[in-house]
Amino acid sequence: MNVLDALFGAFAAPFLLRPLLVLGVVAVAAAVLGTLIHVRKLEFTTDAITHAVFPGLAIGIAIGGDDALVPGALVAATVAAGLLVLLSGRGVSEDATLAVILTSCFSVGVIVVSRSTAWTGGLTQLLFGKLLTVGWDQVLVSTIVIAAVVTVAGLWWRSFIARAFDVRAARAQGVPVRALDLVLAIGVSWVVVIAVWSIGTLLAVAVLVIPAAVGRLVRESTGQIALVAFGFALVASWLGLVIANWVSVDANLNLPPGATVALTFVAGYLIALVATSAIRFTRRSVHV
Amino acid sequence: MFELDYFGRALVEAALAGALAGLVGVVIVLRERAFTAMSLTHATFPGAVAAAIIGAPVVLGAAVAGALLLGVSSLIARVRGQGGSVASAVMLSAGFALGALLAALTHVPIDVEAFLTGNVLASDAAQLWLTVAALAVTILVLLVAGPRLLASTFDTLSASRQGISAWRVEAVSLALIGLAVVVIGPVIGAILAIALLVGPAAAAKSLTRDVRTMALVAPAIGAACGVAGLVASRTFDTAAGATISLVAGLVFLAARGADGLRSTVARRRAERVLAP
Repeated sequence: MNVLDALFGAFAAPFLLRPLLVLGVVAVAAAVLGTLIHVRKLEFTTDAITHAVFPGLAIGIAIGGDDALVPGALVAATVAAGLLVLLSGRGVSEDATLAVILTSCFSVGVIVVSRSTAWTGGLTQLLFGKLLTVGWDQVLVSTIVIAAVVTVAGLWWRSFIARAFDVRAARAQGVPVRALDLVLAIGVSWVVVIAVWSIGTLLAVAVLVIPAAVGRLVRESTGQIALVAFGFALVASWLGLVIANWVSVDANLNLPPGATVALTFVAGYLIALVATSAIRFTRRSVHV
Repeated sequence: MFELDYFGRALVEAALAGALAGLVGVVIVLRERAFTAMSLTHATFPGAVAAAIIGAPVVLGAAVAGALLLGVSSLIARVRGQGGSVASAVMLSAGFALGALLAALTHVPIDVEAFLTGNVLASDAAQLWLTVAALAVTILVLLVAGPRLLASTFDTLSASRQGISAWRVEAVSLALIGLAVVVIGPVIGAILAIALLVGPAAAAKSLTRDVRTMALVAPAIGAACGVAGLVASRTFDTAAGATISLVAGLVFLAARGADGLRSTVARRRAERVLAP
C-alpha cells in the first residue's frame, strides 16, 4: 500500500496535481512538436529559443509583474523564431549564428534582471523553474496555447513531414517550405514558453527533445515515434514528480522539482538507450 | 606583473579570455561545432558545483565533468537514429539538472548564479596565469597541428588518405574547445561563454575568407569585446559577463550586416555590368 500511496496518493495534494497536469499538457507538445523537432534536427534551435525567450520573460516581469510574464515571453518567442528563420541558411554556418544570437538574447535577459527591482524570484528561479507554485490559471493558459500549436501541427502534419524528409520534392509538390519553417519555429517557440514557465529556462530542452529521441530509439515511423514520446513524457513527468515529492517528504532533502523531473527524463533516456542497444546486440549475435 | 587593482586585473583577464575564446572560436566555426561547444559549457556546470562543495579547484571539477559527459555523448552520437544533436541536447540538460541538484543537496553556500553568468571582477592572479597558460598551449597546438587540422576539416577523406586520422583531429579540437570552455567559464559564465567563443570568430569569418588572417583577427576582436564589454558594464552598471557576451553578439551582427551589404553591392554591380 505504501508504494501505491507514494505513486498515486501524493497527487491528491493540489500543489502536486497542478504541475502534473501542466507536464501532461507539455507531454502532448513533446510528442507532436518533439517528433517534428527530431526529424528536422532542430534540437539546437529549440535550445536557442529557450534562451531567446528569457529576455521576454525578464522584460515582461520588469514592466507588468507576474501577469505580464507570458505575454512578454510569447512576443519575444515569436520575434526570435522569425529572426532565426530569416537569418538561417546565409553565409556563416547556421550553428554559429544560432549560438551567438541566443546567447546575446540571454545576456539581455541577465542585464534586465541585474538592473530590475521588480525582481522577486531571482535569476535562479527563472532558470530552474518553480514547478510547485503552478496555479490553475497556468494550467488553463498552458492548455490553450499548446492546444492551438498542436492543432496547427496536426492540420499540416503531412506537409511538415514531407518538408523534413525531402525539401526538393516537397517544394516541387507546391509545399510552401519557407512558410512552414516559420510556422514550425513559432510553434516550437510557443511550446518552449509554456515549458519554460513551469520547468525553467535551462531544463525545458530536456522535456521537449528527449521523449522523441526515446521514440526514435524504438520506432521508425513518425506516428509511432510521437505515440512512444507521449507515453514516455507522461510516465517520466509523473515519476519525476513522485520522486521529488518522496525525497522532500521522506528523506527531508530540498530537491528542486524541475531538476528532478529533468533528470528523470535523462535517466529514462539512458535506460532506453542501453536496453535497445543490448537487444540489438543480442539479435545480431543470434543471427550470426 | 599582475600588481593591479581588481578592475585592472579584470581588464587584463577579459582581454586574455577574449583572445583565447576568439582563437579557439576559429576551430569551432570552421568545424561547425557550435552546439558541441555550447553543450560542453553546460556540461562543466555540475563539475564546478561539485568541486566547490568538496573544496577542490573549480576548474578541475569542470574539466572532469566536461570530459565525462563528452564521453557519454560521443557514445550516444554513434547510435543509429540519434546523432550528435540529440547527444548534445541530452548532455546539456543533464548538466544543468545535475548541477542544480548538487547545489540544492549541499549545505555549503554556493553562488550558482556566479557559475552561470560569470564573475570576471573576482579574477585573481591564479586565474590570470591559467588563462595565459591556456592561451600559450592553444597557440602552440595550432602552430604545430594547424595545417593537419585544416586539411582534415575541409576534406576529411583525402586527409585521411594522407595519414591524417579524422578521429585524432576531432580529439585535438575537442580538447582545445574543452580547455577554452573550462578556463573562461568562471570569467563570463557557463551560459554566456558561447557568445565570446563563437561571436568573434564568426565575425572574422564574415570579414575575411583567409584562414590565417581569420586566426589573427578573431583573437583581436575577442580581446576587444572583452575589454569593451567590461568598460561598458562599469559605465552602465550592468552585469559584467552578460555585457561582454552582448558586445560579442553585436560585433557579430555588425560583421554579418557589413558582409551582407558588401555582397549585395557586388551583386548589383555585376548585374549592371551584365545588363545591356
